[in-house]
Amino acid sequence: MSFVNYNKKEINCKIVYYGPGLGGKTTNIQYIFQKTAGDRRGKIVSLDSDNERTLFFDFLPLDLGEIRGFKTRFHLYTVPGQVFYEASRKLILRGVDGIIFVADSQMEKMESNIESFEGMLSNLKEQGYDPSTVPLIMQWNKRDLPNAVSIEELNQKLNRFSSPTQEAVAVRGDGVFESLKSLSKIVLMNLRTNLSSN
Amino acid sequence: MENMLKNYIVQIGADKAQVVLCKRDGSILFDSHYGKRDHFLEVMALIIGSVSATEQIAKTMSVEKDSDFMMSFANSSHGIFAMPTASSDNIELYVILMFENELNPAQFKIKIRKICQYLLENIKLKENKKNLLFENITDDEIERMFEGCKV
Repeated sequence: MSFVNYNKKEINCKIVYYGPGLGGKTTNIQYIFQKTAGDRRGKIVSLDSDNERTLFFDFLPLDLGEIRGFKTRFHLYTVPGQVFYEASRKLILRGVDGIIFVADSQMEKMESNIESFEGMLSNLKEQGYDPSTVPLIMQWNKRDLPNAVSIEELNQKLNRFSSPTQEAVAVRGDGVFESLKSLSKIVLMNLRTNLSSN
Repeated sequence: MENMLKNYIVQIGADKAQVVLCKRDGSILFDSHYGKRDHFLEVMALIIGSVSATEQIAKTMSVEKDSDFMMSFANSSHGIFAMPTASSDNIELYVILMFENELNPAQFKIKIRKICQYLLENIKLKENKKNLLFENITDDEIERMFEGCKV
């Protein structure tokens, strides 16, 4: 999606939070919403069910500061995590510039993490991406829970491309902005243009 | 592109509606800045999500998509029309048209088709993106970028 408007000196990028159901994707963007000044963010749009499970997507537009004279606007999306919403996940990945994969660290969630990660790779391929080149941060969420597996095991089973990782407890905000900052840096450094950057 | 499209919208009398042009991935390329601006990005995300989903439903149901395919959500005076199209160099696009307090909303169906045709015939969008925009962004620059948005 990345769109650089040279007249307005503005950059727009699309970030998607991907991962298994109940892993903390919506919690990530809710925390970002709470901790961002009102004039820098829009409303959270949530298409969810009565029990607050994401049905289609959540969306939050963020106006960050400037970088080298360009205003930056990030469009944050989450995908629905439940297995049967595969079609929605495919649509939301259209034009993605970077992904935060929110993995649930609990031992019993490992299979769901793997299934979701594999699904993401196949959906990216379907959209014409080479998954190994898409900016990706692996967020190990729910690190505070007693049944959390080791970081080594998460890395070994999920971190296929040796992507940067971030431990998180999204419900407390730990690691939430850190993940977004790390990804923003990679996304901005991947932006291509038809003009010389000099 | 922006001025050409702006002029064309005035020429066909579609300037009393909000006209938005975006890529199928959701990036907004043109916005006529008409009408209510509250939560513009949120509204656009919802509309683009709806059009994408509608298109996908049609595909899943093997409904033949022809040039007249249009998403419409309107009553007798207010509404939204969205129509898939492409630029003359084949970049897939959506044209979205929103209007309110109109006596004859059906006229906008004709106008949105005209805009789609105009894009197909006149607008080129392909870019040869070769160079990186930024190199060597530092952690400090990223920190500064986020600094201003904290509560």
